[in-house]
Amino acid sequence: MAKDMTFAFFLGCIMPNRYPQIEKATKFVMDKLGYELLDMERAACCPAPGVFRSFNKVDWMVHAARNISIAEKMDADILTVCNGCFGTLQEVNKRLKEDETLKIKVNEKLRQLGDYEFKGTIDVRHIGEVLGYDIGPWGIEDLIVRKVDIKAAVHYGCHFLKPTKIREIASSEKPTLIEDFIEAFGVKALPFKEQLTCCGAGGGVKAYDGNASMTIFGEKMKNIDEVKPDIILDICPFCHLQFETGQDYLNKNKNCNYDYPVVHLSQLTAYCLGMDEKSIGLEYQMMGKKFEFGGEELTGKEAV
Amino acid sequence: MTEKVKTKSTDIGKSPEEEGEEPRIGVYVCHCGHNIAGTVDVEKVAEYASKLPNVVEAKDYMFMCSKPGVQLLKDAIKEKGVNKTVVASCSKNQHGRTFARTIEEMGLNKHLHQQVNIREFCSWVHKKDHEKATEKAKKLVEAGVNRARKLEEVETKKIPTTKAALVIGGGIAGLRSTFDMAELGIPVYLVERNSTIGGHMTRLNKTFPTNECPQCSISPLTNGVANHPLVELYTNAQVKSVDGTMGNFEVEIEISPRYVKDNCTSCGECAAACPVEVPSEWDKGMSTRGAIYKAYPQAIPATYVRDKKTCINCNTCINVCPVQAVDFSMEPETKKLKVGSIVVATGYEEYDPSEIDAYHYGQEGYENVITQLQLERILGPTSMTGSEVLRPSDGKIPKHVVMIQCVGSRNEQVGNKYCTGVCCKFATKNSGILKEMYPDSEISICYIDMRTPGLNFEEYYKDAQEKGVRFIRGRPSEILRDPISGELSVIVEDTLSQTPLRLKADLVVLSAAMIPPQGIGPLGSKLQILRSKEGFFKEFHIKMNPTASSKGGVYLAGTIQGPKDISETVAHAGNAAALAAQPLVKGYIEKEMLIPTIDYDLCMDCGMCITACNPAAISMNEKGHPIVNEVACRSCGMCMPACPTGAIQLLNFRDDQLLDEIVPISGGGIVCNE
Repeated sequence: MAKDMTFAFFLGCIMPNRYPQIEKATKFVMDKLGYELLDMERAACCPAPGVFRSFNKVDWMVHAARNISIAEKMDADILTVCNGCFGTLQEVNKRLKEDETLKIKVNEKLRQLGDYEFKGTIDVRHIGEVLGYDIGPWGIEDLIVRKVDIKAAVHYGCHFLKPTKIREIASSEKPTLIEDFIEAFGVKALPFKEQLTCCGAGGGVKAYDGNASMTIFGEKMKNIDEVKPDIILDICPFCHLQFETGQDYLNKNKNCNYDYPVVHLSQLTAYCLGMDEKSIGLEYQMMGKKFEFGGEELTGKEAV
Repeated sequence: MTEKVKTKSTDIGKSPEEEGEEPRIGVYVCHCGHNIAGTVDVEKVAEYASKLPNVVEAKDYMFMCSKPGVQLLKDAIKEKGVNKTVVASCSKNQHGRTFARTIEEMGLNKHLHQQVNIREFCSWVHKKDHEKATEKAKKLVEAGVNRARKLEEVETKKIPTTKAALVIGGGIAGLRSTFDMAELGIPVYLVERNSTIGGHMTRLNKTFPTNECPQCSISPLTNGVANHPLVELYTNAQVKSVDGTMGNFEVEIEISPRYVKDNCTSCGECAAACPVEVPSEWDKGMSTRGAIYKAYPQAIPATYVRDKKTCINCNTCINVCPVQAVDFSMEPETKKLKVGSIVVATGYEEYDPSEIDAYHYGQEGYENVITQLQLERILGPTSMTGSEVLRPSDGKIPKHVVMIQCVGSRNEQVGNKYCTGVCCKFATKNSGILKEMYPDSEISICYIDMRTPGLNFEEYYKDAQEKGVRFIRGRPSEILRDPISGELSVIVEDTLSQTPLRLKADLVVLSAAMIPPQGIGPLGSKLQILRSKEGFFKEFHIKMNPTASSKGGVYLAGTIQGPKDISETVAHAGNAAALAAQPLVKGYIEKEMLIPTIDYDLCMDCGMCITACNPAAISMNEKGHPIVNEVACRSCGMCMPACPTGAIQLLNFRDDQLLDEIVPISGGGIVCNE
C-alpha cells in the first residue's frame, strides 16, 4: 500500500514541453484537494503505447517498469494527466503484477539499466479517474470558488477507458464520469456524434501519416462543430495538441474557420477552484486565445 | 421375450477360485487378417500364453469374431473345461460383448471373459517394429491372463419400474415427448412453469425453411396433449424435489394458483376491464397485458390467469366475470408424483444483449434496437401493430433495417464460444419476409460466417439474396446514435472488400443467442444431473446417447441439451421419449451388479466416495456409514481412488486385480504400498 494523499507526478513528454500550464493547473488542483505531488527524478518517456509497443513489447514494458519502479521507491501511486502515459504505465503495472514469469523477464532486463526493480507495490492513476471517482462532484463542491456557464464538448480519448478489461474504470461505450464531474462547475456537456472515437493523433498516426490523422480529426471537428460548444474539454495533452494544431491545419488547408478553445480537465478545475485566468494559459495556446471563462465568483470564497 | 437374465449365482462376489474351482483359462489370439498378424507374430504370442499358469489352451486364429472363431471358445468350454476366456484381438467396445455373450450361451457368467486389445494398443501403433510389437503383445496377453485369474461372477438384477413418466417443460420438445409416451400407453405428467403450453414456437411468426405458420403446426400437438386421456397437465407448476432412482422416482411439484377457476369461458371480460397495463412477457415487451390475462388467443389452457405481483386488488375482474370464475382465495398446492422416467425439456432462453455495451440494447434512445424474437412478435398474426413492422421509437416503417448476427454467440467476451446454429437461418427468414413486405426497404445482414447447412437451406439463403437482401461479412463494432437527430447507424467493416461501412439503420435487429434458461441450476441439482460448461444439461454421449443425461432414468429433450432448431428438437424429443419409455413398457430394468463393496472395517466414514460419485449413488445411512445404491451406480469406479483407505472396491476392478494386470506390463517393477 502506497502512502495516502501523495502521488508521484509523472509528467510525460508533451505536457512539460508544450503545455506547462496544464502542469501548473494540475499542481494547483491537487494542492487545493490536499494532495502532495512528488517529482519523479530521472523519469523518462512512458514510452508511448502505440509506437513502442508495436516494435518491441518487452522493451516497452522494461522502460515503463523503470518509471514505475522510481515511484515504488517513493512509495507513492503514480498520477498522470495523459491518456498515453496512463495507457502504458497502467497496463504494464497491471500485467506485471498478474504475470510472475513476465515480471522476472522484465526485471532481468531492468537490472541492466541500473538499480531498478519492479515490485508491484503501487497503482497508476489518471487525473480523470482521481477527480471523477475519488473526489467526485460531491467532493469538490465545497472547494469551488467560481461557477461557470459554459458548454463543453467532452473528449475522453482512447487510452483512458480502453481496453476496458485492463483499465476497469468505466464502460468505454457510454462513460459519464467526466460529464458528471464538470457539471459541479456549471459546465454543460454537449453530446455529439461519435464522441468516443479517436482524435486521430495516437498510435503514431500523427507522426507517420499526417493526412490520415487529419482526415480522422476533420470528421471529429465536423461533429463537434455541429453542436457549437464553447470549449473542447480533454483529459490528455496529446489530444490537446491534436485539437490545437489540428484546428490550425484545417483552417489553413481545408477552408475551415475553427477557433474552439481547448481546455484540459485540470485547467478547468483549477479555474473553478480559484486559479487566476492568466495562469490557466489559454492565451498561450493556439486556439481561442480570447476566450474567457467568466462565471460568477461565489461569495464568501476568494480567488487567488 | 427371451429370458436372458441370470440369477444363477447367489453368493455374488465369490470367484470360482474361492469356491475351490481351479481357474482354467483359454487364450485366443486373433490375426484380424493382416491388421494384427501383419505386425505381431501371433503364433509366438499364443505359444507364450500356453506356458502361463492356469492356461489350459492357447490358440491363434484368423478371425476370432467369425462363427468358427467363436466356436473355438465354445469347444474349449465344452471339451477342455475352460472356465475363463481371454481373447486378444480388438477393443472391448468392439467385440468384448461378442465373446462375453458366447460364454454366456455356454453357461458361464459373461463377466468371466477378459478382452485384450492388441490391435489399437499394439499392432496399429507399432507397425514398423515387428519384434518389439510381438514382445508387447505377449506382455498384454499375460496381463489379461493375470486379470482373468481372479475374475468374479457378476449378477444381473431385474428391477420393476413405475409405469408413469414426468415431463418438465411444455414447449415443443416437452409436448413431443409427452405425446409420444402417452401414445405408448404410459401415463404422463407434464409440468410447465408458465401459464400456457407451447413455448417459444408459439411466439414465432413463421418457421424456416418453408415459411409455415407455427401455430398451425403446433396446435394439433398442444390440443392433442391437453386432451389426451393419459396426460395430466400442470401449468404454473415447478419441480420442488426429486427422490429415488432410475425406474422409480418420487417427485414433488408445486403448483401456483391461477386465481381463475376452470369454469372460465375465456370470454375476456376480466382482461378488458382490468386497469393494470404491464409489458407482456409472452410478447417480449412488444405489447401490454393486464394483471389478469391470457398470454395469447390460442393459449392452452384457455383459462385466464391473474398475476398477483402486478394486481392492484381492485376486484373489478371478480365483479365483471359472468361465471364467477375469478377467485383470489386460491392457494398454492403441492403434489407428489411417482414416476419411472423423467424427461427434461425446459428449453432455452434468448440471450439478453444488454450485456454488450457497444450495441446499447435496452438503453434510452436505442428503442429501435430489438431482438429477432421481438421482431417475430411484431410480425406475428396477433401483433399489436397488425403485423406491420413499425419501429418502436415513432411507429414508422423502417426504410433501412440492419440485422446483426452472433449477438451472444461465438463471442468469447461474453463467455459464449458456441455457435447457436439457427440464427443465420432465422435472420435469413426474417430478412426475406421483410423484403417481401417492403420491397423498397434496404435489409442488410452483418455476419461473421453464413451458416445455413442442411437440406433446403442453401436454397433458402440464395432465395433471400435474390430477393435483394444485402449480406455483409463483418461483425459490427458498434451501433452509433446521432445525439441530435437520434438516428442510428451500424459501424461495420465489409471484410470481403475491406471497406469500413456506416450503415444507416432505422431498425436494428439483433440475432441473439440461445442460452440455458434462467434458474436452471436448482433444477439440475434436484435431478442430480451434470451441466456442460455452457450451462446446458449435459448429454451422456454426444454421438450415441444425446438424449440421456448423466443420471440414469433422466432424459433430455430439445434445447436444454444445446441449441437446436425445431426439426432437430422434435427428433431429439422423440428419441428421449423412446428411451424414457423403454423401461416403463418393459416393466423392469436390467442392471448388472458391477458395483463397489465397502469393507466397513477399513471405512472411516469420511464421505470422500460420496463426493466423488457423479450419479449420486452413494449416501450416508442413518448410522453415518456410506452405502451404495446398486440401482443408481454406474460402475464408473470414481469412488475407488477417492477412498483414502481402500475400503471401497469395485467388483472385478479391485486393487489386487488391477495390480495383477499391471505387473507383467511394467515388468514387475511395481512399488506397492501394502
